Amino acid sequence: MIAVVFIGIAGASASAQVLRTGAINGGIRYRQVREEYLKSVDIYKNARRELLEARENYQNLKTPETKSLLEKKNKAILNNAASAMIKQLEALRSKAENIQTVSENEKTAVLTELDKGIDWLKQKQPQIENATPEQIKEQSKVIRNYLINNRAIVKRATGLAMAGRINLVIAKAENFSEKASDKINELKSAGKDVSQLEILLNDINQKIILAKEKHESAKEKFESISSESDFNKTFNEGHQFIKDANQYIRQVHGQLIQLVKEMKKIE
Amino acid sequence: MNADEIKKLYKAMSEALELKEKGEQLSEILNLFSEYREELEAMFKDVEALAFLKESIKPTEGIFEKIVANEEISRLLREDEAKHFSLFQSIELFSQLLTAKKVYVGIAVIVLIFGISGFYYRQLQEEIISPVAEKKESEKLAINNLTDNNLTPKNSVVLKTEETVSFKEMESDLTDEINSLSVDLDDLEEFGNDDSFENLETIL
Repeated sequence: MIAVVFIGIAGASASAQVLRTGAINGGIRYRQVREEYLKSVDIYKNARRELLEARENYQNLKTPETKSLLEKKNKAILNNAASAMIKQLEALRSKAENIQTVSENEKTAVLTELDKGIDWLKQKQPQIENATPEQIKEQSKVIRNYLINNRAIVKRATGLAMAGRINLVIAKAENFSEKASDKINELKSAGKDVSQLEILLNDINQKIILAKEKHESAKEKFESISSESDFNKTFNEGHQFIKDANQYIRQVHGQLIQLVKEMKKIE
Repeated sequence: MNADEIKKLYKAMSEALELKEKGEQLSEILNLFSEYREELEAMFKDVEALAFLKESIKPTEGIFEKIVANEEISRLLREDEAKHFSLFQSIELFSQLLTAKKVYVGIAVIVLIFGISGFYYRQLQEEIISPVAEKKESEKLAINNLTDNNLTPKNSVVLKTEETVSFKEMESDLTDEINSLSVDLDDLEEFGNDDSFENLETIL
């Protein structure tokens, strides 16, 4: 029962904190859209399985019934694939919109790119819905050609959102380090021995520089992603830079906390 | 369950509680956080039980009288209507409570836990956010440093209080950022590695 009391208090406290940052509504919205996306993927995968079965049946039997069923399934897969891709872009958009970044312009660029993809697919939906069996073949080609473009959009937007997100944390760590540096100088002026603090701060600053370099490299990689490039490879390379930057910034975080403790001891 | 998973579960619990407070249906919330359905169901059961107990233990005289149903305690309550209980009377009341049914003793323990938790939580909050709480310590430090720094005590107090709050805020802010960064990067990684539409072109 005591645990329940504390879970209640901790839960309420955490909720209040998230509310203060204004993030919770965005987070909830993202979860809802993501859930819708996962459901649409299930529907699409089911349609895909049914299409393959209908195709096999038609090849085996070649009857008007199996042909008609195949045509229906061809239309269904296109409809469901388009819906699922829209949901995927919407979920990613919701995530990208919700995360904090240093530059609002960079965020807007990512959102605009995703919006273009969503709009394009939404325009195609009625055309697929109203297409005759002959027109469905044409629509299949259009969607097939678009698929590569969609993958590139997702990789590029995901990467740039990652880069923007980590850049904000690096900026905050840098600001923290600058404030700590001011304090160390103040202690030094007061005649305190700050040699160990300076060594620690220097290490922190080196790691911040490395994190910034990794962020820049990642951003360059993600910006170069296009439907013509090997976007899987480029995304993975950029993602590795993000992981490296994340490692550095986590170390910086621990060291900054240590630095403040040491400063307090000297005070 | 590793640290990241625990963090995600904790976040889901917070958001689920928030949604419930906003009046969202429990079934909707559980669907929304389907991966944590079991944990959330257990949590909501506990919260429900706690809410019931909380309602039952409002410390008004009428409810106390109903619960205890004891003439002697009622008399003590009436006598002390306009003032606090003395220590002796409190002990006497507590001993009377102990003789009541087990459930009432349980309720009394819950009240005590709430009281103690509230008291320490309040103290903690004061320590964190109140400049007044740090003033005495800062004044001592300022006076100690007075000869070295050639500052007036007043200025030193202001400077140190601001600094302490500032570093605490930055520490807390950066810790929050690091934690939410992990969640954001994990979420985005899912999109980056999403292969749901792989090979779709081969069947179109």
